[in-house]
Formats: sequence, structure tokens, C-alpha cells
Amino acid sequence: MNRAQLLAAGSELLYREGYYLDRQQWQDWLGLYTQDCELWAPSWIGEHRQITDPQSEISLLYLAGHGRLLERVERIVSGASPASVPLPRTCHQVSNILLLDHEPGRMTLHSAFRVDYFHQKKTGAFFGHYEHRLVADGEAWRIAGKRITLMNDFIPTVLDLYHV
Amino acid sequence: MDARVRELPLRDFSRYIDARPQDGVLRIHLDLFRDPELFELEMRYIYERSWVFVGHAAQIPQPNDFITGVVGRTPIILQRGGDGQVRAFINHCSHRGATVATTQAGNARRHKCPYHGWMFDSTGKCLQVTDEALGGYTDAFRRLSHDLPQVARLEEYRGFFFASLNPDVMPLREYLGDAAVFMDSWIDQSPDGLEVVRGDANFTYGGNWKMVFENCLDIYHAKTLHASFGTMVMNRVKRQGADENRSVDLNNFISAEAEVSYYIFPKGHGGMWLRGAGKREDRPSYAMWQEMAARVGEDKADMMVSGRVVAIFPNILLVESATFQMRLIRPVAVDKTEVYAFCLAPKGEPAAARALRIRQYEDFFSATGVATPDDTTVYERVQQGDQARSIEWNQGYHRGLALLRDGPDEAARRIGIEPLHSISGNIGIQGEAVYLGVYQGWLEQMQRGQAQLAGVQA
Repeated sequence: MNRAQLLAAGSELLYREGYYLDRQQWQDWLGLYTQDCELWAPSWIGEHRQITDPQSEISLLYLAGHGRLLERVERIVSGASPASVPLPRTCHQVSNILLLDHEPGRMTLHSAFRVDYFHQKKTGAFFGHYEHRLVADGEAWRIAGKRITLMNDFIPTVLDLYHV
Repeated sequence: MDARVRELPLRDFSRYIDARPQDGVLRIHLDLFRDPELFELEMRYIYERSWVFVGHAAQIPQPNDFITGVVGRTPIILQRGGDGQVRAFINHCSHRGATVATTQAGNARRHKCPYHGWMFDSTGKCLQVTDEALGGYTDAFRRLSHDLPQVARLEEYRGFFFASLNPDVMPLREYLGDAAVFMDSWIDQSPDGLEVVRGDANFTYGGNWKMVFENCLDIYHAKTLHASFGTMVMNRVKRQGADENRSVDLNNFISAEAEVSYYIFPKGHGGMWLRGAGKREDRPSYAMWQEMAARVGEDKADMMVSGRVVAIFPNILLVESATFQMRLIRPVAVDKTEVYAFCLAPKGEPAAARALRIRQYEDFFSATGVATPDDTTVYERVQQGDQARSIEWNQGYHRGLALLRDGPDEAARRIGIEPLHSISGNIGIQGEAVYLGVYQGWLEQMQRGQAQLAGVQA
């Protein structure tokens, strides 16, 4: 695949991730991730520095392995979590997609995101940047890593997977 | 005296706390959670008269390190001067009042006001009134101190800094009383004390500040509100085996074999100690148990690896339930609260134990995790429900009241503390009567604050 084809395939996967999250198609969303995936939202240290090591510093989200995504989804749909009933309506917008680097069967994409949400008569938004590591799986691409740089990190009551 | 004080209506605060344990009654008036004027009085009589926690020494280890914060509504800078001494001064330029430090933390030998350039050193001393010589200033002006005003009192308890805007506040050690012994049970986990694990995960909720204070002493809610956490941990063990990223199992944690003691301390502080609950080897500190037991004795070392909570009135919570978090409460409005979360950990903890601590912390206590968002959501539902103005009282403080007794229980004697009251026994108590002390502390401080500031006898 040339750069343009990679960028097109990668972009489509990023848009699709937002599509599944916004439609609450959890199993389809989980299907986008590899078994050994890592979803990481590093936290901030003061205004402009982020943590660099999830093993010795606090992350906003550090979910290593598909099982961790699955268990979060199970909680979201369980009906036993008041924070998840009702779920907010969300709208993911992903843009400014850049192909940072690639090699056969792998690519890394940078993008900007904004997730608007509406919950209990209140509107809010989370925004920041993504860095997705994608790996080829036959004809398809899957997400092996998603790093979320969340800019507005003063958490208003709840922040869950569907907010970012 | 504050000129506005007399404009505030004087209140008989005793009307709000119906504490008659001898008659089996403990009720707290719902206006404590919904009356904006009462919130204003709490700021004035509690947060701006008493001791409030402002930061930990580990946040400002180097000369000229500082953090910013608030005491009540007053913005402050907590800074280690070039001389190594920690001071607290008001973040308010003496000229026009702009805050001179605008970041959450930093290292600065000087603070320069961005508005007109007045300059202050790291002890708060004014170094420069910009263009003073040409300014046509009067002698009266020159006689004024231009320094950043010092916060009236700043005292430290073993790395924990507390500030007070009240010069006549009692000594901190006296204020903390035996609640400090609970603090020790974390501080003494390592011979080198505590450190703050880096990374901010702070949050806010649309509810009164006392809801998070109450919640940390409440294990009655765990089974219901955190059912999804319990299920998650159970499934994790089933799928991945018990050894990987183990979390403290909530079902085990509140199992019938466990014993609990609740302690009511003077000044509004409350403690809770769970024994025989959960597998202690699931706690990161257990990695250091042998060293701890050799150094402090088995009774205290046992406490250091058990579930326990101390709530220091009004604004600091040390909570070790499914994991350990310290919370600094910052009330913003009657129905708006900010919570600053600290992952405190013993220095020298083995790397694997530290990683486990961090995973447990993110799982349970982070506002992005799977327990705290259910808590914060439910505080907002309580805030909504409490708007029912025809209802003055709820029934949320009676559980365990029949078991209240004066003085220490046997477990308290073992660790050498003298609480005013204890409630102890099987964990099934899941007591709420511990709030008796919290609201007696509230009442005392409100009455004393009004008496001192408004010159009225309570």
C-alpha cells in the first residue's frame, strides 16, 4: 500500500471507531482492537507535562489487553453502574489525521478529537489528540495501541471510554 | 473584624443537628446540603477559621518549589523558601490584588505580578514596587508593608501541611488529636515516609462538599453502588487467574468474617478500621509487611495492611478501601465541589508493588475508573433529591447508633488511641452513626466561629 492508501485505510478505521462508540455498538468497537492492545490516557503533571511511565505514575486510563476493554464494556452495559445509566449521547469528531510512520503491516496515526456529549440536560466536551498504532490483520486493520492526550482533564463527575 | 459579618443573619446552628443518641436519634438537617447562605457561613466559620490541609511536603521538596491552593475562598501559595522553610502566603498582589502565581505548581525564586510588575521573593517579601522613586508616593504608603500577606498560621504534621486564616486557632497537633495515629499508619509504612506518585486525576461533582466526606466513612453503599466493580474483579480472577493485576475483592472485603471499628474523635474527625477483611496480600503495602512488623510491631503492622479510613474535618480524607487514596476537598458552592486526588505511597516500595498500587488506584479511585464515577453520580442524585424543601431530615444516620459506646474499644486500646466513642463488631454494622462526631465537630466550629466573628455567645 502506498501512503495515500494507508492514510485512507487508517482514517476509515478511526472514523469507524467513533461511529461504533457513538452508536453504542460495543462488540463492534471491541472487535477493532487486537488481543494485546493497549489503551492509554496519560495524566498531566501541572500545566504542560504529561507522565511518561504508566508503571510508576498515575494514568487517567491504562488498559493493557483486550480483557480490560471488555470488562469496562461489561460494566457500561450491566445496568449496575449508576454512572452509566443513562449513558450520555456522544458525538466523536476525528480530524487532522497524519500518517506519522509506517512499515509493512503497521502504521501510526496522529489525529485530533473532540467528543461532545449530552447528559442529563447538560452539554459538555472532551478534546485532545489521539495516537493510534494500527496493525494489519489479513485484509483488515486493527488497533494495537491508542494513546489519548486529553486536554481538559479536570474530570466533571464522569469520564469513561465513550467520552474519549 | 470583617465589616460584612454583622450583615449576616445570626443563626442558631444547634437547630440543624438533632443528635440525641440516648434517645436513639441522629438527624442532620438537609439545609446543610442545599442552603447557599449556610454554605457561605461554613466558609467563614469553618474553612476560614479552622485548620485546612493545603499540601504535602513531597509536593515541594526543593528550595523555591511552590504549589497554589485555597483556604476557604482565599487563594494561597505554599512555598519552600530559598532557606528551606515552608511558608504560606496569600496569592494576592498587595497593589491591585492579582494572583502572582498562576500555575498549579512550580519553582520560582521570585513572583512578579503580571499587572504592574511588583516583585516578591519566595518568602513573600516585596522586592520591588515598580518605579517607586518617581511615583509620588506618600510617607503613609511607604510605611505600609507591601509583602504578600502571610497566612495567619501554618503547621506541619509529619509532612502534611495545614493552614489557618485564624491567628488564634488551636495548635495543629491538638486539633488532630488521635486521628493522627491513623495518619501515622500510612506515614510509618516506610521508614522514609510517604511520597506522592505523580500524575493528576482531579475531579468535580455537582453536589455539596460533605457528601464526599460522608461517603468515605460509608461502607454500607459498597455492595449496592459498587456492584459493577465487584463483578468486574470477580470476572477478572475467573478469566485471568488471581495473580494478574489483582484488585482487592470487594465481596471478600465486606465478607461476614470481617470486623469493623468506627471511631469518633473530637473536632469532627472520624475513623474506620476493618480487620480480617480481604486478602491482605492483595494490598501493595503487604510487600513490606515483614520489615514493617519488625520495626513497628505486629499490631501496628497489621493495621498498615488493613482497610481503614480517617476523615480529618473539614477537608482531607485518607481512604484505604479497595486501594489507597488521599482526597483534598475544595468546596466551590453549596452544590459544587472540587476534589484533588493524591496517590500516596511508601517510599522504597518495590516496583511490582508500586505498579499494582497504581493499577488498583486507577481501577477503583480514579474519576476515570469504575467506582468513583458511580459515587460522584450518586452525590448529584442526592443533591437533586435534597431539593425537596418539604423534607427537612432523612434517615441516613441511624445505622449502628444502637451500638455506640463511650471511649475506646478493644482494638483502639491495642493501638493506643482514645476516641470519644466507638462502634464495633461484625462488618454487617456498616455503620453511619460515626457521622455523629462529624456533625458535632461541624456544630462546634460553626458556633465558635459565629461567636468569635460576630461577637455573639453560642
